[in-house]
Amino acid sequence: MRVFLIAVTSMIAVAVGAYYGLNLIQKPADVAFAVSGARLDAPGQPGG
Amino acid sequence: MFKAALIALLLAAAIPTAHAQAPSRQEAPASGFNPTATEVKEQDLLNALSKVEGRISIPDTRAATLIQPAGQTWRDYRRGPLLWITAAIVLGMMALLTLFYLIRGRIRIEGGRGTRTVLRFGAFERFMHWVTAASWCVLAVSGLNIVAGSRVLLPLIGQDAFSTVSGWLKYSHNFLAFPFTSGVVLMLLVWVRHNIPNRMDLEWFRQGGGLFGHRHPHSRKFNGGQKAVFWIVVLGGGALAATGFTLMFPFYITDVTGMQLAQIAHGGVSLLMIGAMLGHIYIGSVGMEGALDAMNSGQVDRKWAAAHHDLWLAEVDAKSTPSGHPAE
Ligand code: HEM
Repeated sequence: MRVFLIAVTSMIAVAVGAYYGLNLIQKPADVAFAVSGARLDAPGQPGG
Repeated sequence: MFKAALIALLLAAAIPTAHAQAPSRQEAPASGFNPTATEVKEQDLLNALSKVEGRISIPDTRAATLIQPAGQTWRDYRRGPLLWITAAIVLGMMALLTLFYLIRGRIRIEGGRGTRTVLRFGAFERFMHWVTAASWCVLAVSGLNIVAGSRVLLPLIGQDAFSTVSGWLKYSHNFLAFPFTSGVVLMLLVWVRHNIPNRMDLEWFRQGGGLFGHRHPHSRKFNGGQKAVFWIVVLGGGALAATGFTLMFPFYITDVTGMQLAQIAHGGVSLLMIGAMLGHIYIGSVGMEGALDAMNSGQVDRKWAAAHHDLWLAEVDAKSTPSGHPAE
């Protein structure tokens, strides 16, 4: 049981780590695909 | 580019003609001249090309694909056959296991549990097993929700609850992919040397794994069935990681057709794996007395070990004296 609980905790830790890790390298579409000649509204945002 | 221009030209010519001349398909005009005889229909064009692309000025060049007819086939597959295949595999496997339980009952340790145990899996082996197993379970449930949630769960819990639950399941699916992949890699590294197939496995399968009757085929640390489970996890898990990360990072590796194929492959492999793992979960828990101890405390009853892994027990005994712990 102890090993099981450690495994589940580690699983959650790796998942949360992946969340923050990916957030460092990902950009929202309205930022990633905008250029000076083309502006994209933020999808899902008010007014977007 | 040339292709796209050609299509645009043909479409421009063909579509208005199709509308204007629609009635003339039934009855030829009095002049005897039938312009629709050489009409290029939109569907013919789409059939001839894998997609219709234009030119755009934003940096996301993938947005230039306007029409991709294969998308309709992909959508139809997901709306129909995929649901039936999913139901057949998941419900069919559950029915088979229930039937097996009713016929064979729980496979008992002959003569009841003994008093002495032997260490089967160390803490690290159990740790990697549970990281993989726990994340797999959530991946399976959240994956099934993507395929069938709107048909099964939505009518039961309503739109608001379904959208909240599905949102969390989707996050879980994305992020638990990382511990799952790590677990599969660890299992491969730690257990591969015990899982190389050999002639003894054939004999194990020939005897039906000893599931029926009282004879137990010889086996080392892993028997033929367990080796099959190992390779299903490693190869199936590897394929799911490859296709899953392709889906998770859309269009980095492949185009829209590749994405559709990746999703079909991901869904297909995951269903086969779900079928196989239901069997594994059954035999590791309710199906066989003493089996769960191996992944719980790590200590198994020596009588269980002698029945199911006789050669392994002999190897362990040859290396050390038995631990003498009572079975849990
Ligand atoms: C490294 C592992 C995995 C990764 C990266 C991954 C990733 C993904 C992604 C990104 C999707 C698409 C989700 C969407 O359409 O919004 C997906 C769908 C799905 N996944 Fe996974 N997944 C993994 C493992 C698994 C496992 C272990 C199972 C089942 C045991 C599974 C079952 C499914 C199913 C059934 C779908 C839906 C397929 C469809 O819509 O046709 N996945 N996965």
